[in-house]
Amino acid sequence: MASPLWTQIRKKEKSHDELIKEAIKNVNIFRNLSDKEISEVKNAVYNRTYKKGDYIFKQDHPGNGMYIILTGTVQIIQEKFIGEEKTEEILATLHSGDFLGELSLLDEAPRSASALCTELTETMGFFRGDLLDMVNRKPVLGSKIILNIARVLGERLRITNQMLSELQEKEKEKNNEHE
Amino acid sequence: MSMSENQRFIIRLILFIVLTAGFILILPKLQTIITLIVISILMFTLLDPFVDKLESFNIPRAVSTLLMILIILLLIALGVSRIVPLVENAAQQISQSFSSDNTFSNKIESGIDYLNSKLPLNAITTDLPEKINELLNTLRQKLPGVLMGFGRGLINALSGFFFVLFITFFFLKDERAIKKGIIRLVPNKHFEMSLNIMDKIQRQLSAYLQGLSLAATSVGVTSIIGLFIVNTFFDAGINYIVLIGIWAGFANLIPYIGPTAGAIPAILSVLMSQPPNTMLIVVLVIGVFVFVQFLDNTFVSPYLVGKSVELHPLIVFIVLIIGGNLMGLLGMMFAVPVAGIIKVAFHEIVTNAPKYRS
Repeated sequence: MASPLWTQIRKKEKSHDELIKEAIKNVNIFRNLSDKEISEVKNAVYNRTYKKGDYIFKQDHPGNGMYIILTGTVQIIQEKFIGEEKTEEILATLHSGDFLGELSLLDEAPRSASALCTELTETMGFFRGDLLDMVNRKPVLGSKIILNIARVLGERLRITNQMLSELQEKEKEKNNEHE
Repeated sequence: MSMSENQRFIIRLILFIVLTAGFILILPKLQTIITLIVISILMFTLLDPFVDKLESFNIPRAVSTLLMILIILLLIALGVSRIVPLVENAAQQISQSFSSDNTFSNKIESGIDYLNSKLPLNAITTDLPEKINELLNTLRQKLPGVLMGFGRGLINALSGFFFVLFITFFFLKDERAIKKGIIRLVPNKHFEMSLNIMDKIQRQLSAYLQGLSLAATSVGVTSIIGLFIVNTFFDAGINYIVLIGIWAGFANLIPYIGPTAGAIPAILSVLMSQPPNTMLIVVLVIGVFVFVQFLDNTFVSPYLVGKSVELHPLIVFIVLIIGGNLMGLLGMMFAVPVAGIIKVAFHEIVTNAPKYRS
């Protein structure tokens, strides 16, 4: 019979495993993946722990992949220069289960903002090199993930188009009012 | 600089000097193991895409790796079973002519006489046959020792070969775990940069080594085809064409010296078999190797090996000397690929690291 301590450790490991799998399932680019495929993604991700005040990534650094927050809080901060003065704007505050930087899986474009941990934060990173590796090693799984990224991009493009047309409408109305 | 920073700097400097000195002291003792690990890394980088391909057919990673290692063993066994009888035959033929009234040196001598009679000047030195005889006599005296050394070398090579296969197997099977293990040591601050650079280096190296092996194979195959054509149409009597082709392919890994070293066995074979028109055949054989080099340098290597890994001739010269000093002929063969790997790694670090500066 296994000792209670060992059972406890195994239980803890299992629950951590489940937490990771659950977090992966909740990310939009890993939608519609089977349990086996989720396990495959789990094997490809890197677990990192950041202290309060650590940056996960910094603005303008080359994008290399995405992060899923397992525990903790992350602020997305954008630095701007107004004249010679540097200002910082908090764009979002992300918590456990949220994810960031998924479009960096496609190219090395510089990060548009920095990700700062405001408390002890545990993350899971999934990177472009591993996605390309997955396309070679598990083509079906790789294609599913790339298709999901394309869907996310499509959704965002539609929202951007909608916002743009709304803005144009407003602009037209404003012009008409002036006339 | 404050006092504590000064102290920290001195401690770091002492630590660096002690570690470097220790490393330099231990290095000669670790030379063999380091060489075997470097060869395993080269093998891993070369074979990884093939294992990935096998895995893409839904074969588990461990089974794909085992299959790849078995394929390699099978290919080597097949090659050895084909090549050993050829080497044996060649050795027998040489030793026969070697023991029976110096036929070997006589043949070379008459071949050289023939070439000299056709050339306007005594282009090839006339005391060459005596020198060959002297060399053969020395060889005859040293043969038992050489054979014992060869036996010992063979055992070492075999154990080294299995060590390399063993390490390569684990590199291939546990690639991801090893990469994760290495990256775990990197602090968060440099994590993304290190991962990015590691990925890029691995991809570039894989392409470079595959290109090199394809280029060597192409040189081997085209040499065999060329020599076969010369043999068929000019009744040249060149023996062991396949063996010469394989040698030419391997020799091609050594820049500058390789192409010449590849052609020498073929020319010797012509001189030994003394076909009619020896001069013409020798010229044709040289022509075949020049044409093979032209094909390789113009059409094959630039596309397969890539310009980014091109090394300056001076660097090539230096690394060849270092490789030759460390491991002889094998060292010269591995010198350029290893230098290429270092260049790719250095290039990726220099290009990518500044992008991560704040």
